[in-house]
Amino acid sequence: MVMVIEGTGLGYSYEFDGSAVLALEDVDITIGKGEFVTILGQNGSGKSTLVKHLNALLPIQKGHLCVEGLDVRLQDNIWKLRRLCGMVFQNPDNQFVSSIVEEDIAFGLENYGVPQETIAKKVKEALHSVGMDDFGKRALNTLSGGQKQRVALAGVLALDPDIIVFDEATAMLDPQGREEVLNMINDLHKKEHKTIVMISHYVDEAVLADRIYLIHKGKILKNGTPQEILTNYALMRSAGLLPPIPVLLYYDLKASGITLSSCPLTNEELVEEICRLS
Amino acid sequence: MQIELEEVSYAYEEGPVVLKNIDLSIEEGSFVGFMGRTGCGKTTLIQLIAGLLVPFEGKVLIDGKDINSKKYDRSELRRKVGVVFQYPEYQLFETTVEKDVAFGLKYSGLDREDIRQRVKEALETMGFCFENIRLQSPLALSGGEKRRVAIAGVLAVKPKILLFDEPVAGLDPLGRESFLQLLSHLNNEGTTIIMVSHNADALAECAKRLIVLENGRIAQDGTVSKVFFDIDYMKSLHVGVSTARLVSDMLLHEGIAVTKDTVRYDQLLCSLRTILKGKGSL
Amino acid sequence: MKDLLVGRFIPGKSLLYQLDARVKLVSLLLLLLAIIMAETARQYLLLLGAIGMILVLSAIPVRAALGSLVRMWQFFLIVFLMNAFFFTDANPLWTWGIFHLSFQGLAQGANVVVRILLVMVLSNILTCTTAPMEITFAGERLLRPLGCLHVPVEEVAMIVSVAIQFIPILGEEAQMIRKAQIARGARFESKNLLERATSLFPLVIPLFLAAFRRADELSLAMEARGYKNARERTRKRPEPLHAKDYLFLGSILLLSLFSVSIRG
Repeated sequence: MVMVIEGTGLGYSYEFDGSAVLALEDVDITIGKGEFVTILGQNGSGKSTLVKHLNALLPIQKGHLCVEGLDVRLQDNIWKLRRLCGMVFQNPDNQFVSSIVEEDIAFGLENYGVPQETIAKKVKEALHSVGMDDFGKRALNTLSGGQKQRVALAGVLALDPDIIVFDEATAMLDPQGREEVLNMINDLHKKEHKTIVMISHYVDEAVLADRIYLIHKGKILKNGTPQEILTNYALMRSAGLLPPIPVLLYYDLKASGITLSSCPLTNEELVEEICRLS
Repeated sequence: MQIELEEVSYAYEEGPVVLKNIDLSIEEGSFVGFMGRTGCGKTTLIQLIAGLLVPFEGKVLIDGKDINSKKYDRSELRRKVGVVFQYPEYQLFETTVEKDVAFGLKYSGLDREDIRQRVKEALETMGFCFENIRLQSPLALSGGEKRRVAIAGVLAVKPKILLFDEPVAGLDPLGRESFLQLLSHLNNEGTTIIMVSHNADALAECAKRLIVLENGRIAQDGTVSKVFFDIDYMKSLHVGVSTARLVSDMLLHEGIAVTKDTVRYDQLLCSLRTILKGKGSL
Repeated sequence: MKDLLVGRFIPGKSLLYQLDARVKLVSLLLLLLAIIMAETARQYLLLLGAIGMILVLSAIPVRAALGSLVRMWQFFLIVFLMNAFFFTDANPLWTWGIFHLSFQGLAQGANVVVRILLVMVLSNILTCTTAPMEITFAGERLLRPLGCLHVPVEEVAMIVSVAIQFIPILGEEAQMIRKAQIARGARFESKNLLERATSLFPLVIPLFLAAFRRADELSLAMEARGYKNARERTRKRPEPLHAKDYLFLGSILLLSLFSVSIRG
């Protein structure tokens, strides 16, 4: 697999009240083309700090990072980098530059000097790819949280990035909005074969990923498949997280002398395991 | 009845009617969850009970008194009812944690020592060491700490009724767990708790009564097991049910005899222990 | 608060939506000058008629054009009374201490109030029929000559268009903060002036922080989307003006000149 993100020894400290607060320590991260990777950790674990290195929103303090072959340290690469690696942020309201949907989507395109005639076409395509074709002239403040995040995503997709980062993009949404956005992410992964990097503290969302990086207090505890990470109760607890409910049940049943044949990750798998047993 | 709504209707300026003819009674010491999709009126309902909005029709009564009548003493309302809005950490403003938490007691008539005592208790309930935190700037704390300080500010008033709007939004699993434990603790001590939430699992753990709103009307009102029973109906109301209920429903479909009103994790576990006893041991 | 400065854009297709934003801005300016220079009832009636026509051409609901005017009646009353009582103390109709009610004062008060009303209605019509970005681009293009004097026109335009977004969002935030603090016992409505003044802190400080937070997050988002500076961006090629643009602008120009000329 071609590696699109290769980072070694990444470290970062924030300045706070005169002293340095360590946010990342000796982090190695490699992500292959078309992979869906979730960076999972509790609040304050450093996941957002890590991910802001990918599109050079934070300067590299320690270590090396190459995204799509571009060395993130070089100033000249930054602008190119941000087109290849797009980001959707957590707060749906605080990432819009204009109050009208199509104007906001055009923002990124204008930044890259895309000719006027092409912009209109790209905006239309972007809206179509998030399933909001008729929303072009709508005012952003009339949209639901889920719709706003989809518009933000459209704005990112308009630039045709290879990597899309979702920085806790579902955290402020209601269940319906969260479902909308997760469905979009799945489509991007399975149909468009984009490389997806998702930051989250929701373990049930992490189940969808190809691979998970578990992060705690600025250090990567482990990286592996959802099966390897989420079913490891002790590991999850050491990261300050709770595994998904099916996993909890597996362990609680085991403690009562009842062992399922394998540790389920989803509700469906749990039901299957229980049926198998009875 | 501690809280009563009689035929309450509300519409925002230049907007559609958000709540239509709501009749509701809540007993002292209850733990009630409000659910419903965004826009169904649940936040409006909380604000009406807290006296932050005035209904254009109907009455809101607390301890039998109409809180919107001219004769009602508003400061009594502020003492009885505490509200924690979404992301309460964004409402901090004082220079020290102690002052911010004491803000609600400014006009309480208590003397300085009593206020300090209340502040200390509130901060300790939220897991802080009073001496360590009291002189720190609230704005320099971490997100989670800020939220706990904001809630302490509401607890310091010792309200009899606590209203929460999506209190676990943005909290990670451990944060959520400790918060729900706090709520159960407060409820056990006699505080009436009303919580608006999308998190069906959280409500299943703590709430004793669930009210689901749809389009400004009450669509469901009952115990958690009663309300979570009809999953399809809940889906049509755009509201989820607890994971335990979903799993038990799936199991029932496969012929596994879990108890019908399983809504909480511990109930599911108990049920499964009984059914699978002796099977699958190594 | 959201309606105060920027009457919200309402999508539509009437004539006013089809006009170039620059034409609308210049027309607003011309009518503004005419309004400021109006003094007689004839002039006001003429201008009122013109605004009425524009309102019809916009096809927006009258309510949207009047916006927050109705809610501001206290403000207008105060302005009127201040002029009525303090304009001059010659030939008073009625005196009491420092208050001198005079005919000129009443006339002046009426003048000021009517002018403000007309200007506000016109502005509302503009912002209801023109998307904020369009207004900013139009403003930017009209001010471009200033670029020769090293005025950073593009940057200012970007700042303005982004700032316009802040207003409704901060307005909502202010409402929530206000309610949360009232719930904690803040006395915003107290009769005591000192209490009221100090009670502003719990409102203003969180609001400032909200604004900074938003600015911080937004600037990050803008950078992530490739924003370098305001100059090296695709600039919308200004669309050529059509016959209706020239006709409209011409009519407004004539009307304004006429209004000024029938003075006295």
